[in-house]
Amino acid sequence: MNKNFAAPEVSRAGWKLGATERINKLRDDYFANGPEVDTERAVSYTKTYKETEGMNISVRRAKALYDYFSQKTIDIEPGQLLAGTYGKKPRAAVVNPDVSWKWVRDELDTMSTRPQDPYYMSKEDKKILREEVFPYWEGKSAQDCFYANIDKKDTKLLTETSIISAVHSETGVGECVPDYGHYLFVKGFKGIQEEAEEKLKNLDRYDGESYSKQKFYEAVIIACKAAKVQSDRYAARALELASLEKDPQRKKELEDIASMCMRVPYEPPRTFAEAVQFVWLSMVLLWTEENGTAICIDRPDQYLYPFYKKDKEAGLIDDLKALEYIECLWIKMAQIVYFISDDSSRYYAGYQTFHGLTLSGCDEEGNDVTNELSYLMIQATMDLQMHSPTTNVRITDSCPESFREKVLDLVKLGTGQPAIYFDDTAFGIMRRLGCSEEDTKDWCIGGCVEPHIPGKTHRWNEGGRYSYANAVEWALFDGYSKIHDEYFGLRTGDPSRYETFDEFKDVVKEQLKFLISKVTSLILITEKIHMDRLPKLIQSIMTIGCIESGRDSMHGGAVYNFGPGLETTGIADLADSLAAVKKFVYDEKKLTMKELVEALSENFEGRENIRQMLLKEGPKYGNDDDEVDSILKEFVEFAAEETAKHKNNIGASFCTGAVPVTANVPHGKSTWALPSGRKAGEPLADGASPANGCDVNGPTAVIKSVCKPDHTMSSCGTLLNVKLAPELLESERDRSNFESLLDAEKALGGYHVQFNVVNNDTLRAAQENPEKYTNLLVRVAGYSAFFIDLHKDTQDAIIGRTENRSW
Amino acid sequence: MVASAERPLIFDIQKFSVHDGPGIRTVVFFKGCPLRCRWCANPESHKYTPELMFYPDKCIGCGVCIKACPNGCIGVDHKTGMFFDRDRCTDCCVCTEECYSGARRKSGDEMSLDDIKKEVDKDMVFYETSGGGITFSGGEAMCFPETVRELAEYYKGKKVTTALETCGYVPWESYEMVIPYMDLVMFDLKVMDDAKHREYTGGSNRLILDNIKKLYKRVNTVVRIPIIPGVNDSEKDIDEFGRFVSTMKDGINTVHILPYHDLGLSKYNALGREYLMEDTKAPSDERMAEIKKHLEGFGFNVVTGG
Repeated sequence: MNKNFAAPEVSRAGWKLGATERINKLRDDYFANGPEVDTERAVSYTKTYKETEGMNISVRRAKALYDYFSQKTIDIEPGQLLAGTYGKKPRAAVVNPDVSWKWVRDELDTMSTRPQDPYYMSKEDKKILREEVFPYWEGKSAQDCFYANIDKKDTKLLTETSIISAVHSETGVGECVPDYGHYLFVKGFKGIQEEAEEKLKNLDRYDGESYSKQKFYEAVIIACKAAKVQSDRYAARALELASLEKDPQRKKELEDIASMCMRVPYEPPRTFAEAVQFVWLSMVLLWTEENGTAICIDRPDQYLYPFYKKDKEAGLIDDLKALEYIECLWIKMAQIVYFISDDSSRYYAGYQTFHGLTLSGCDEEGNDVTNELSYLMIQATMDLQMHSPTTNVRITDSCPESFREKVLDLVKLGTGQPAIYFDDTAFGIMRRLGCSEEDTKDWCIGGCVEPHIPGKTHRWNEGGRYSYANAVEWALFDGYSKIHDEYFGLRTGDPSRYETFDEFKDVVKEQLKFLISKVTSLILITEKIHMDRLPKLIQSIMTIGCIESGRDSMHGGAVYNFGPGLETTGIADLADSLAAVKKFVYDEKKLTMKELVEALSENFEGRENIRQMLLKEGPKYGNDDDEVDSILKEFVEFAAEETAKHKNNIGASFCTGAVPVTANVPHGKSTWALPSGRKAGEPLADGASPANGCDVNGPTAVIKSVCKPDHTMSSCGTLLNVKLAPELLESERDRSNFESLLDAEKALGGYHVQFNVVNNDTLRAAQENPEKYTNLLVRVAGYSAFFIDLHKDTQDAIIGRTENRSW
Repeated sequence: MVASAERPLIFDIQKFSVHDGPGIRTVVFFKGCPLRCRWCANPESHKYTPELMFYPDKCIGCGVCIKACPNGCIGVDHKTGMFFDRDRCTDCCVCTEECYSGARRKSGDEMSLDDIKKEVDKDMVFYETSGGGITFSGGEAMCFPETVRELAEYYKGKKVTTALETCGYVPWESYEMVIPYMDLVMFDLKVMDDAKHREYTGGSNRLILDNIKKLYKRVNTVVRIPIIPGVNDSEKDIDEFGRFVSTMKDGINTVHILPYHDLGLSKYNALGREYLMEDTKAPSDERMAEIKKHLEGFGFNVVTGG
């Protein structure tokens, strides 16, 4: 443990939520201005694409990026200490027609009023899109190519049901976790540009890949220049604003912004402020590239620490100033809006972009590295209480007690932050994937709960989604999806003919194999389209290995390449259903399979006694009951192994995870009644959590159940939500028991846990009077969202999670 | 009596209990109690035999219980719907085996010691991280002293803390059996005046007071006083508690005061029993604070809510 620090004393008299007046004002501005559709990038990209028809796609996209940053409307918000916005306005919902556009066209008139995550759009912007943008992109966007290459039935499966999803046919990928400390801060974009120039000069012309490499390097050089043109223009704008500014303090701040932007991110940062500005402008570049998600800032308490230490010693900053910079960055990160269709918004509810940061943890030798910034960053999240960035904390064996206390203070606020991770299991995941021991120690979160090695991993965790529940439904109904009146599953026949439970279980496995294969086959198409049509230059600049190898991050340039992830939902529904079939049909013979299927077919209408039996007497996951937990373990591990058999376009194995976002709600809508006693259309269980209301033995039993499968096999991470009433964290003793729960989960091989500290009365009141609860933040899944921003179904699902009052 | 030392009657095993001794604990509730305190929130704990609890609001009207009941206590009345003749019910609980809605439940299961251990062992990791363990409660766990002794000895051997919640109204010999294996006893004091004690609990407090005077010298003991408005919450009552416990200051320094609540009301209805405290309201936070202060005046560490 790092003993050379004292936890910073950041509280001061009268300090309210949102810290300083500046931060309060910026936070108010955030809430006053909702997301607004921004067409500037669409127009600019359309123009560049028209001018570059037939050219190499990497160069084309680099030029498009450069052209856009050369003419994009730029401004600096009043009071902000950092420059850079994603679109014209801070909360821009930026249209990316190169990725997808048809849904934008179809939803032009409903987008501003849709139930989940509406975006405001002006009449002028609609006109611009209709006249200047859409006509060019017919048949040209990545999504157009995707649907041109899949058959009608799969199109129906993807567009008319929510059985599976493959979101990157609609949006960019993102999922980039750059290494600022050891890589970008050392080289700057300039250093990387120079390396690319050097490589270009010394190309091996005997190499069959030399043409691809040449174009890649040319494109990288242009993209680095795009980074420079962006920061140069902000510097100029800051100087212009400074010259007009009357207030001497603000004038000085604008001059500081100008001087920072003259330097970063093109050149390495020298001060704490420059380092923060570097991070932010890099994020804007990553976002602009393709509207992806999960662009994370790895371990900021670590890589910013040398700057903090140096500046503090030199008297350039104090803790409060450092905190203000951190909070300016947090607000900036919260501003970014994921621009997605109505359908997708139900999966990723809450304008979430899943960009987060990871605090604390250990160094390569395993020593705890908690430092002053770890505390300040928790404090920033406490001050702001916003849905983003997601704050993740790595708990090591030697984590200082005072830091654990600080983490608990944040948990207690009830914003669903932070997510807590146990290092040992994360190490296990990274080792299993083949990372070096040293890299493993540097792991951090990229997205909701997905582990990455900063700068070194290329992985799409959010490749596609399916729910385990459909495998059960199809095994019982011969592949038939009753809600959609179509045979989407395998035709496995009448389930009454299985004489033993094992025979039935094997059929569920067959259906699961089919489901996995269906999703991977669709992801392979999206992946190939991204490789061919959306090469990722900014990501490649920020990914170690790409410049050296001359390969784009999509083409194997990274140090570590892990296949796209299949995210899963409803494992609890599968386990509860199978346990019920085993108990009532095969062991106790209280029902025949035929009777069960009939009751399910009727959605339990007139069969409420059967439903009650299944629901109340069936073993339920989440209660430390081996009868059902062993089934769950078997299927989680089966799915992980089965998924890993599939290879992606560059030969890496697909991965699996249990990160539900809000997919348990739409997946549930596509799933008929189940032997667990769940009715048709109801939400499924989220992530690794038990089904709603089925965990009746308190959190210790939940944690025991959840930790039974080997979590290192779910390499995209697993997620456990535990909801606690706020009174459960009041006394010293409560807090100590809470910490004991964490210690136990760690000892049991758990990976992640997050807490919703709110009570259902509050949530119901917020449903009734949303205007009174605009700031009510809840942990949805791998992230938090403002409760009132969520669709009613998702709100109900959160209310339905068992609240632990017994503490 | 159905239950035995080898197979005591258990009406609940509650995990993640954090108000009944240190750390995260599992409480084993033994069925059967020698007292009948009027405010008791667990009326299903009184009898030494299994009992039927009936929650009509959970009934879905499926009618399976009508066929199941061997005594014909349940039927359909075309005017009033389903009826249940509680007077003729023998608590055989056969109906609960068919009722899945949760409307008909059996309170009290004979469990072998192995079954109890198996359940309590499940949270071992939490006892280890929190310093928690097993708490014996009831009813009155001391009505099963051999069982408690064996379980306590087993858990002491596993380095898990053991605690006992007791009403004190059992022969001293029972305590003698368990003392060597008990880390903590939470001992209830209800009313100091014996006549009043008889009136409200159905038993004399003499045995109880004799027991605690011997017990605290042998094992770490905490006094627990339920604060029942109109019964034991006057200044005089509190003063009497304070003075009595002060005589044991050489061992007892902590007093828990537990405010009365009526959360057990629905259970009285479910058992078809009358609740005699319906007019009693929970003491106010202010009153609890005054009582706390009063007892602190005697030099005790006073904890509200245990």
